[in-house]
Amino acid sequence: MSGPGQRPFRASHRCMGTVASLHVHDTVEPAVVDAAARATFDELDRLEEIFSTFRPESEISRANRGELHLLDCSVEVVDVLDACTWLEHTTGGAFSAHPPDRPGQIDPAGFVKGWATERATRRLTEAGLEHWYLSVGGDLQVHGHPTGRDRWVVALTDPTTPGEIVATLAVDEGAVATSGTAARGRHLWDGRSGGRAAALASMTVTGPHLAWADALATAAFVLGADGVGWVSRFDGYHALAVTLEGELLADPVLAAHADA
Amino acid sequence: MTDALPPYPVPPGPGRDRPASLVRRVLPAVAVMGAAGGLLVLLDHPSGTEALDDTASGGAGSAEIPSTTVAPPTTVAPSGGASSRSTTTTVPAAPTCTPSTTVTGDAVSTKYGPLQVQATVASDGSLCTIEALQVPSNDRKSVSINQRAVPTLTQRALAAGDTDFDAVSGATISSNAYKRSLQSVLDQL
Repeated sequence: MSGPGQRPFRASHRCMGTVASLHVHDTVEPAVVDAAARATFDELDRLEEIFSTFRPESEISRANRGELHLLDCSVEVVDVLDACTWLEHTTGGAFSAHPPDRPGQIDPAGFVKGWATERATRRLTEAGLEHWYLSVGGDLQVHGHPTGRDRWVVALTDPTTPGEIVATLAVDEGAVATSGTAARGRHLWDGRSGGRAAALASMTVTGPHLAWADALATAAFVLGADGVGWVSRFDGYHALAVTLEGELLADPVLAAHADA
Repeated sequence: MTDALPPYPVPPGPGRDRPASLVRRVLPAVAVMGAAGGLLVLLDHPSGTEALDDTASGGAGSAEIPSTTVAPPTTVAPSGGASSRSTTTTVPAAPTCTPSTTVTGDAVSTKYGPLQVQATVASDGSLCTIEALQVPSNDRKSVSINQRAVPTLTQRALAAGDTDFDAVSGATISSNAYKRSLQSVLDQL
C-alpha cells in the first residue's frame, strides 16, 4: 500500500528475448525497492547466462556440444533437468525438453522461463516486499495486492482477435502463464508425435508456482481442449483456453473468477 | 538436493511431495547424453518406465491422457450475451473517466509491421481509453483484422470494465505485440 504521494514502483528490463516488468506497491524507502529490483533483474540475467540455448557460452549450450558434463554444471541445472524429466513423464511427452529437430540436445526453455521468473522473485521477499508482480513476457508471479484493489487484475489478450482482451483474472498470490502459437516456439512441439502443436489458440494456467504453471500451460496447450480438464487434476492449478474459433473454455472453478 | 525447485504439483490423493530418487534416474541417462535421444530412450524402455512409476508422485506418475470422466470445462459466454463479439453488441454506458495525461506505449515490431498503443489516464492512474497509434498493416489479412479490431478495442475494454487492470498475459504474434505495448503503458504510469 503506497502512502499518500508515493507512486507505485515500476521498472522493466530486457531479458530472455522479451521484457521483464516489475511492479511493487509496498510503502518503503525507494532505496530498498531499487536494490530489490536490481537484484531481481540480476538474478534473471544470471539464470539466462546459465540456461539460454541462444548463448553459445551458456552451460546448456556447452553441455549440448559435449564441452561440459551436466554434473559439472551449476546445481540449478540438475534440478531443472530433474523437473523436465518429471514433466515429460507426467505429461506423457506433451511437454518435452528434447527438440525433435535437434536429436541428442536438451532445451529446457519451456520450463526455465517460468521457473527463473519465479526464482527471481525471491529477491523481493528477501527484501521484505509483499505487494508486487514480476512478469516476463506476460507470464507472471504475484504477491499481495495493488494499491486500491484487493487483488492484482491480469488482462488476457485475445489470441484470435488482435487488440482485444478476452478476459481478466484477479489474483492475490500465485502465477498466471499463457502458452500459444506465437511463443518463441522451440518448445511448442508435441513431444508425443514430434509434430507442431496447434489445436488451440492459447492456454492460460493459474496456480501457486509460475515454474509449474508455465510448463503446465505449455503441455496443456499441446493437449488441446482436453488440456483444461487435465490441468485441474493438479491441486491448485486451473486453466482457461481460447479455441481457434475464439471460444473461451474455462475450468469451472476459474469461471467463477473470470470476468468476460 | 537444493531448494531450487518449488514443491512439485500433485493431484489430489496419495502421492509424494517430490520424486526424491529421480535425480539418480537422471545420472545414468547423463552417461548416454551424447547419443541421440538419450533420455527418451530411457523413458521408453519398459523397465525404465516402471522404475519412474515407483518414484513419481501418485497419480501424476501416469503417462495417460486424462479420461473423459474429468468434468468438462465450462464454456464462458463473452460479455454482451450470445456468441458474438462484433461491434453490433449493445454496450452499456461507459463509466466516466476524466483523462489527465496521455501515455504512449513502446512500438513493438511484428512481422506485419509495428504496433503501438496509447492510453489516456485519469489522475488516479486508471486508464480511460486505449487506442492503437500504429497497427501492423503490411499483410492484407492483417489489415482487415485491424480495421475490425481498432474501433472495438477501447469500446470493449470500457464495456467490461477492462481498463482497470494491472498486467497483461497472452499469446500469438499480434496480441503479443499488443500485450507488450500495453504492458509498457502500465510500466510508465
